[in-house]
Amino acid sequence: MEKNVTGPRITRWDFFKIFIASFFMQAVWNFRSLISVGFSVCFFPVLGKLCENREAKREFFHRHLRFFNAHPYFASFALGVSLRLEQMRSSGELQIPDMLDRLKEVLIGPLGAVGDRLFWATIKPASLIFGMFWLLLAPNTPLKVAALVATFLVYNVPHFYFRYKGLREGYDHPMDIHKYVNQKRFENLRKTYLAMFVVSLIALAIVFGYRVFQMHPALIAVFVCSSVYAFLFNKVIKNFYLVCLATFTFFLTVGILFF
Amino acid sequence: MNIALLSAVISFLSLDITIAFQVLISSPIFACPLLGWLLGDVRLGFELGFIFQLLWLGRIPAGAAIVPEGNIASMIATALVLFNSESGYPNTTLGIAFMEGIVVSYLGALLTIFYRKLNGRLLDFILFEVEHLHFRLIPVLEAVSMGIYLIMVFFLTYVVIEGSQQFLPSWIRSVGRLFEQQLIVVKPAILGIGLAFVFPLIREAFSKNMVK
Repeated sequence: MEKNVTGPRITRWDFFKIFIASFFMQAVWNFRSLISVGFSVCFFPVLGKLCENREAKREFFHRHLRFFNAHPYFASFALGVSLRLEQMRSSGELQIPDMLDRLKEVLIGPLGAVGDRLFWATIKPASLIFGMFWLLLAPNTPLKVAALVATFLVYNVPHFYFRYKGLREGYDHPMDIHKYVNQKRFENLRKTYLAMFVVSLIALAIVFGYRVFQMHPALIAVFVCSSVYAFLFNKVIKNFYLVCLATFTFFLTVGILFF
Repeated sequence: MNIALLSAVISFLSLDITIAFQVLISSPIFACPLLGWLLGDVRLGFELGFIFQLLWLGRIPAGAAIVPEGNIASMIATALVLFNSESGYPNTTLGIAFMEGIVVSYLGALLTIFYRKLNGRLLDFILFEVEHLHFRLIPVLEAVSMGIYLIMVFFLTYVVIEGSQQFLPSWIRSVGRLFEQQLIVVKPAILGIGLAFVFPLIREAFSKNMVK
């Protein structure tokens, strides 16, 4: 399947199995090694190919159970790099383990930063706002279900794509992987989702605002004031639970006293 | 629907938050309508999904950050509202379920910390097994870790829903009889609080820096 690769053959089916295993990468997340256990388990479909004997397997797990962290979707780039380097090591390239340690260490920062910025700060909120807008607009259950299906796809198409593409690119270009996890490479996609975020938010504000303004003026006042109150309160104490409970209790009291 | 079965569904969906899949199905806009469908009122499920999604939109469990477990809280609050939807006091029911939801989101965050500490013990065990060349146990221990989380969320959900159902119907009746009319402020207040937490999200999306 791949050109100029020494070592055991990694098939498309192997890639697919690793891709599926990567969905459980955060399974044994812990404060000491973070995602390393889940990361190591992803290699199980090809472990027999990569390690010739039990001693090699022990060394393999010693290497991969060390501290490692990345955005869960973007960790597949590191997975691909590790897969290729382990394959090279199994064909006798002795300097590989040190190189692998260094590469993984170097990748922690970019994979976390790029993934967090792209998915957690942009694609996830954009997709959810998009879903909320269509959910509010859809007049009946079948259309609301269609809105949820669309939201699922809007979020998961790039998610699945980067999980698989990362694995392949990491494998195909282990030594110049930095070019593939460059923030600039994802900027167009990020801007597209950012645009969707803004459009959906404005549309949601219009539809939601329209519904709010159909309420009694006193309830509109409660809505606006509770928002401002919670926002300012959060600025001061930055405690989600306290902000929610205090704001809610305050407006509940207002309701009981004045409505 | 049986509370134990419902708790099993909620605990399975909660795996999606940080442990497995991460495909968004645990988010309130997906999970609440599903629970609504299971409990016989999908329309209410959609409505609650929208309200709770707005509230917990800005709480993203990125990396090592421990955030309020809004997804579990939303599912439990939705179940409580749906179980008591025929009480005749919708505002009171939503108000009480919301407050329980906030408490549950705190308990869920504590549970996450405990689970991650427990995984540290599991890591020691995995390293021990690696030393003794028992590699096949590693994926088994990964499954055990997920199983532990499932059981913990199952118990949290079961205890909260079962416990609440012991006193909630009578509470809703007594509070509702007195204040249902005044508690019309509940929904706008929750939506207002949710809106307050959306503002930082907008700033974050446009920020040139990385997510903290």
